Amino acid sequence: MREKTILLVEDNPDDAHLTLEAFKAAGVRARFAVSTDGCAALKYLRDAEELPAFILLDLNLPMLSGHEILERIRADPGTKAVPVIILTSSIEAADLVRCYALGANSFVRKPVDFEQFLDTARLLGRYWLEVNVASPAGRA
Amino acid sequence: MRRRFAGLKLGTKLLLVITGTSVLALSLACAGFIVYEIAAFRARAGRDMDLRAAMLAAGGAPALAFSDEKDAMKTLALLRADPHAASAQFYAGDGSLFASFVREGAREVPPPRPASDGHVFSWERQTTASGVYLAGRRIGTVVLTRDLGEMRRSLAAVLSISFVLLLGSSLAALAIAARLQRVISEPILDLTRAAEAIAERGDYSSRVAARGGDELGVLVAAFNEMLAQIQRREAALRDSRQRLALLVESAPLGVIVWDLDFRVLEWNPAAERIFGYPPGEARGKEGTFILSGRVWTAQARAVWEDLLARRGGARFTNENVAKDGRSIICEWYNTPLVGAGNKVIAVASMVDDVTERKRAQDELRSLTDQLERRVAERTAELLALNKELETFCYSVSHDLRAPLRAINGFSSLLLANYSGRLEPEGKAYLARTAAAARRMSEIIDDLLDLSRVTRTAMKPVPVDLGALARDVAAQLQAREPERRVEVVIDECAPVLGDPNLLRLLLENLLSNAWKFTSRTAAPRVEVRARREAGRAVYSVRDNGAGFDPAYADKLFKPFTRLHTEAEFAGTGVGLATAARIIERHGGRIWAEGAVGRGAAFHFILPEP
Repeated sequence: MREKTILLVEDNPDDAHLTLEAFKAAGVRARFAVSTDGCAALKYLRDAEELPAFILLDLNLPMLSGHEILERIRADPGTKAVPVIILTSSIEAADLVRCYALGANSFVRKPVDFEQFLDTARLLGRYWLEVNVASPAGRA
Repeated sequence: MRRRFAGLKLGTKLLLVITGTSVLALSLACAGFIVYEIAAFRARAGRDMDLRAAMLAAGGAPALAFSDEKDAMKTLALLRADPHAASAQFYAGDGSLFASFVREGAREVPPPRPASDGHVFSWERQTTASGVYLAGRRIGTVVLTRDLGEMRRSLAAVLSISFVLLLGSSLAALAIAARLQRVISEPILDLTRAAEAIAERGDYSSRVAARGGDELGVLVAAFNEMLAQIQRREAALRDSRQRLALLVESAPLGVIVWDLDFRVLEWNPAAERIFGYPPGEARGKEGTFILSGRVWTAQARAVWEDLLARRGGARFTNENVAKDGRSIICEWYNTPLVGAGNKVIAVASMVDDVTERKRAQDELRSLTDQLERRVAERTAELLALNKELETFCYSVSHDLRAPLRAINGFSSLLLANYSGRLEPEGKAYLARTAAAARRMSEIIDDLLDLSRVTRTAMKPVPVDLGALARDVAAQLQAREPERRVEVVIDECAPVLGDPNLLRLLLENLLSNAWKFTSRTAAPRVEVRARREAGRAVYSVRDNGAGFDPAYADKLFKPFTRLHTEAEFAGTGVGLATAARIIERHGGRIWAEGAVGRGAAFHFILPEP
């Protein structure tokens, strides 16, 4: 079975690197595509042969913000069913409320502690790759 | 006559009336008596004479019948025995004198024969004529004359007695009247004198001596009562005038009365104080002397005309001028004085110098304006700062966290992936680096909490602190399931507050208690509610490490810690956040404790 793809939208290379390491250390078997800004991410979604299993989306991004990217993903019939997990440093209640209003599937705060991050990555991988797999019809 | 009587004194009048009345009555009585006496005498004399005439006629009838003059004379001579008889005549049937008798010494000749029978009285005598009859036929007439000297004497005696009587009783009446008239005239004279005293001297204190209970007594009493009333009223009026005068004199407001030509009639000391003119100088002056420019102003003219026409002008503020030329702001309260016939007779004004007040007001207003401007500026600045702070907090939460995450993450990765190439000491350094980054992230979280407590808008609703505390305790227990802590939470009456902030408060206080009892043998955490001086006091108490009470006031300052990190981990921001939350609710928090004996945090919150 081919490995599933996870799209990571993250402009901070440290964070991007650590995220990949965390998922790897957590034993999540998936292929990662990384976009450092919204335009690249949307382009990737447009051009990809196969849609990613889920998207890890940072909020604080150059040019297009995470909110805007989420809004466009949900506005596009081709991508609106893709699960989007917000992965951010923000603990602002306003951000959380807005993201869920725009159709985010989950809101996860990036833990500073790597061990915690590892736990988080494990939980996310298990849930979105194994438990809650979208049906083939949903991906049409 | 009547007018002269009217001019007499009351006593004299009474005297005259009493005396005159008694004299008149007595005179009438005497006159009646005399008339009766005369009538009685005449009746008696008539009967007497008729008898004698009958006797003479009987005796003389034969002589007349036979013309025997001698015998007739004898019959007439019988009258000598009657001392009253003056004369007697027989007349024959043809009317000629037949015989005549005249008493010696009588002066008068026999009177002529009366024309008819009967009695004729004169002052001197009584003449009686009677027919002489023989065998039923009249044969002549007998005429008897009687001297009335006896009657006259008797009358004279009666008259003189009457006169003496009259005189005597008149004098007696006069004497009695002279005494008795005083009973009536004295009280009236007293009244007159009192009335004169009042008219001349205005002395209402005099009183008329009280007399008996008759009409005069009533009059005197009424007069005295009237005087008393007038005296009382006069006293009241005088008092009231004095008070009024005193009031006007001592009034803090200037009191000025103007005549209809706008000239000063009254001017009190306060007016002098305001304008500088003593009353003597101000009286009689035209009011323009205190108007700005010392001439009529349009405003003053309008107010004056309104006052005279009673259209208004009751209150106005005006710029006036004092004697020394100072311009002053005065507040005027005016009223037209209305006299008889509903006509305006003068105008009264009360005046207050409000120059100082006005200036103070203006100053105050300008200060207030300034202050308001400054407040607006500061508010704008604060809003800008707040916005800046929010932005700062946002970037702290995002941007400061990323490097920490990198430090911690890469340290952890180094430890995990390259531990074989590191000495134990190097591994320890890396572990400490990771821990430091984690700790700094905790500090940032707590600081964000603290700033959020200050920034977020409060939505106070009734909150059940007990339920909230149980919820938080359950969370703490879930986080450390292996710990055994005895938790006691009272039922609490609802308080008024923001549920999110109050949850944060309890999270801070209870996690503190939870943390500081971690080395206690039988840990116990309590949330207590009690009433003290009418207010609900809540306490979060533990039997943990406690603290030195000397530092109790430092507990609530951010970054103040009373324990080392090695003893109890913490950022030192939690209690500052708790205090800030209580402060925002308008409540109060204080701490109590001793080293090794636990700590208690008490707070008061507003009740719904």
